[in-house]
Amino acid sequence: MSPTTTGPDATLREGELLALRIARRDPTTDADVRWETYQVPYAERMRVLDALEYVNERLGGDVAYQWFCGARRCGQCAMVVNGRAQLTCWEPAERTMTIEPLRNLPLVRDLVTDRAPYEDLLRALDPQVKRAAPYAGFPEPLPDMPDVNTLTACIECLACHSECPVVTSGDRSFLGPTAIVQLGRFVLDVRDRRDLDGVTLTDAQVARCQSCRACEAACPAGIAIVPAAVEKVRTKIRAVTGR
Amino acid sequence: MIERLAADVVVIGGGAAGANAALKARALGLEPLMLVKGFLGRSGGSLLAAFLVMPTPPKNDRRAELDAAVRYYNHYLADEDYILEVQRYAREEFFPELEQRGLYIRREENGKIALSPFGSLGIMSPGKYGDAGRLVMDLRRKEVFGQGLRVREQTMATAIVVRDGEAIGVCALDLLTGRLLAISAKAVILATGHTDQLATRATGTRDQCANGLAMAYRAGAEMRNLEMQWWHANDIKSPASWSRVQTYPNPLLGTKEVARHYNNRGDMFFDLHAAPGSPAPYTLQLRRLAQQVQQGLARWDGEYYASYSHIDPAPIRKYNLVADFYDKLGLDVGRDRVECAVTWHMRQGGINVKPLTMETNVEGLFIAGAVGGHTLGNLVYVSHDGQAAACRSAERARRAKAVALTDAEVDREAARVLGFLRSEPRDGVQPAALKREIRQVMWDHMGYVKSEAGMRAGLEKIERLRREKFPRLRLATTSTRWNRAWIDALDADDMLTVAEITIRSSLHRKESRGPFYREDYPVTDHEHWLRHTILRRDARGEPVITSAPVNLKWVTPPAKQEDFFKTDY
Repeated sequence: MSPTTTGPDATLREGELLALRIARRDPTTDADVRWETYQVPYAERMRVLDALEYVNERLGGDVAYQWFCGARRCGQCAMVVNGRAQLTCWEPAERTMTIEPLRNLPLVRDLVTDRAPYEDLLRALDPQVKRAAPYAGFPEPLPDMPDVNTLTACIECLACHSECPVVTSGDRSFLGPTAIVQLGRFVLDVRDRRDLDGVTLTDAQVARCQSCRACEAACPAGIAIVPAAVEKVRTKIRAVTGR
Repeated sequence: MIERLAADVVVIGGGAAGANAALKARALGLEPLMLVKGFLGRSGGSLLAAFLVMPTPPKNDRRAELDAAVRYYNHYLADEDYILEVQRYAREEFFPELEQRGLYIRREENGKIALSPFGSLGIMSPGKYGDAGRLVMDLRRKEVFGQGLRVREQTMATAIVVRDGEAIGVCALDLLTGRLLAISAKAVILATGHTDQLATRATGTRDQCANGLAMAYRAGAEMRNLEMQWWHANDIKSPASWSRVQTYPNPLLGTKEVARHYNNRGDMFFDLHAAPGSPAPYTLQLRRLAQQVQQGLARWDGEYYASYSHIDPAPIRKYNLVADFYDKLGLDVGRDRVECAVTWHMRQGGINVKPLTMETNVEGLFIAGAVGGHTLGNLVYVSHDGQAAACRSAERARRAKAVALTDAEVDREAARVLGFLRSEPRDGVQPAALKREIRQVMWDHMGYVKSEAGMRAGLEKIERLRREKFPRLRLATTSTRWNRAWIDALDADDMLTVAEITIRSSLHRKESRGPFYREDYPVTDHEHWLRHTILRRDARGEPVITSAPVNLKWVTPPAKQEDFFKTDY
């Protein structure tokens, strides 16, 4: 007898059929989304990703989706499930699931989206520690940095980027929640002395956040993005630039 | 249709070994090109490295470190000169360089590095324990792109082109567009990591489908000790996709305690502190689990449990990623046990290389990292290898002339790759289903407990899959745009090849050693088997096995023969 197998998915029984409705589309050939449905038997603690794997390995589904680690590290398996962006290796399978690609990114095929716009945005921010003082040798004297540690948990799955209403509105001056979290990792690092008044980082890129916290509900790492990243980065920018 | 490219050095693989190779090649003034099947730093095994280990004062005991590497991580199938060189690299280059670039190794509230003693070494991690690889690779990714290196992501190398015994280029497939690439190169560095997706439960990433080993084997490279395959005894049983979520037997961060493992009767059968001081608890843990399974007190696929209930949960939550996974399952890390099952893990064996220069028997083909058969590998080792491979390949690239690939050379590989792009026969086999069957055969016949009869039956099944199902592969669609089934078909070809040669190597070694256990030969027989198993293709394409001596001077086995179940390495 297994001592502990209860969890949030305890209402589903082993072998019970789950209904998956999956958005299929190749944007180079298909004008519209084609919906396909599959039935997948529930297995112990099944994740959404496990159900998709069953569709391809056992039902001949040939659905295009991306994943690498299956363990909340690679950040490449986020999709929209029942209307909400989520990391599919992390969230439990549900009795009925409508699965779509992430929003706010170009579609490659089916459930695969192109991360390039985000990666380009991030690269432009030069997200690496910009040292003020020369390196002192290993190990360098450093304090505990709890604010940085919190943001380091971000795996850049872009679930929050997909949920953000400001990003969805098409406001290109706004960085979006994922990029702000990544920026915060370096701006809040005691070693970093980047030019916050420089051309690439304006207050507006962060300030357009509406604090609706839709991003936080999607975050598989449980980061309180608005207080832990947006507000802290905003405070730091104001302290340095005097704006 | 075919895109032609040229580079001084082509680096295949986007993990720590590949990234370091490309960065070093650039530092030496070369023009490297990286080919990454998935995404740089995000799709390979480096991502899953849990922690960093380094020598910690006041011990700083190089002899103990050498002993740990030779005996406990490589079971005496090691090269001491290479290990000593990696030790130097760790101290003088790896840690200072990463920290200088901005890696933030987790500090305690008093500013000291959060550190757990582990034999002669110390365990530390950027972020939480469990996240080291992700954060090291995040840094490397930014460094590679920041320096403007040429990187083709979502591009799968499919063949190393060899002419007159020399590697002269690479053929690849752009997975986004379906376009074929023919790349001429003065040197090729293969850095594709472990072959983890070869069994039903596996610790690797989805992309680790033995492509590197298969490419090298087809190109004429020698394999070494392919049978030295590790299993994990402590990964979470369910959900299925979490088979690489580990309840480590090593010391945790933030506490002196370690996880304990219990059988189905509730008796503890493994606690590192109760074990006799082995710095490599993995193989020891497997042996203890094997004894539980023999007595019906656990199964290989479950009915044994990890527990942290004897430890203060606060430091576990603060410093260790495993607590998040517990929480997500609705379990209490301070109270509940979690069911575990065994998992196909890293491989000590791989491609045969000269470990100080990373040269193979194929001129112009270099190896970096875990795809090599020279060491088990961890982030430090494979980073070293990337640099070493870049240095020697630079010497070659400076004197070699670029040679264009001929149409015949490219067309041959193009025919193979495009040959899979078919939707007939209608009653054919889908590639994802064939991959699943291959992994099932390896799970059933090449598990931790092996025997002559079991392995022969497994080999027969693999050969039957090759003969009967592989020719009948069909894709649901012949679209060339991110057609996952096409990738799966290429993977299946490589997995069949590597499954076969892995079983042949395992049949050859008639003893038990380290992670390799044969119930028909339960003795570690140094007198006859302290040798490397070397496997290569002969002129007819058939595998041929020979052996080669080990290079050991300081660390040697204690006896000619040892009872396998009494060894601690």
